[in-house]
Amino acid sequence: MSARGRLRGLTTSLRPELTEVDAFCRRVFEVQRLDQYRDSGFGMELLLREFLNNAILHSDAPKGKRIQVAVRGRPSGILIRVTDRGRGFDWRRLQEAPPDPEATSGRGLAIGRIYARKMRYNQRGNSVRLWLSPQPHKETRNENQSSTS
Amino acid sequence: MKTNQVHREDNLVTVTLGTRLTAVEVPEFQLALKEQLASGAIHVVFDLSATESLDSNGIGLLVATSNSLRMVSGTLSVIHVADSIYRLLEAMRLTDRLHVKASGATHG
Repeated sequence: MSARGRLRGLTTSLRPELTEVDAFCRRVFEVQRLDQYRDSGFGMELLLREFLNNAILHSDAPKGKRIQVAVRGRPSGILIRVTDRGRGFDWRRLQEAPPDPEATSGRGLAIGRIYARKMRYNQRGNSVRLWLSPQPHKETRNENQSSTS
Repeated sequence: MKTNQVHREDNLVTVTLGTRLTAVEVPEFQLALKEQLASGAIHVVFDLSATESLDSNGIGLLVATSNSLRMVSGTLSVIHVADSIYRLLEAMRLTDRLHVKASGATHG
């Protein structure tokens, strides 16, 4: 992938290690900071980190199974897809609101709802697609939803 | 790149973060803060002047530190916070609880 290119697409698989997330984010932003989507940087990195971290820290995938990740630039914005090899989880039970301020965990999916224009899990719950608008973080959550693809 | 630093003066600990406080960095700080609180620190300041990335794991560290300090009537504050991070903490309803101060004057 060239740093002179546009963020048309990057599809790869990562080892289930947190340092891989850092490396992948760097690869994406080498291109993205020169691209039409550069203003979406904070939200995009946040979403990548949250959902890759979720796959690494919370998936019950067999040890060492790689995580699939794709980032694609489209006229309407950016599409991120993260898929692990675990059994998935019941996204239907997700709470709408951010967790209690005293909670020390459980904010990843709330962040997904806020920073993604749309968030959709597959039926099994081991693959998520996130759509971002080209603009930076929007305060509204009205357009967000979780549903099957 | 600015690196992470933990500075102790009496019962005040100042944690100066580097460019990120994410899942990779959290374990290092958990250990350092646990040691500081165990040895009597009751005031903690996180300086985010160089910080560009914060994720839910980093937020969890800030909240856990706040929870621990509340148990000993201590204080926590998060200062020099970039607008993007301020908005994230605001969306998580944490700006009051963590005493978050933005880099500029916009958020007081």
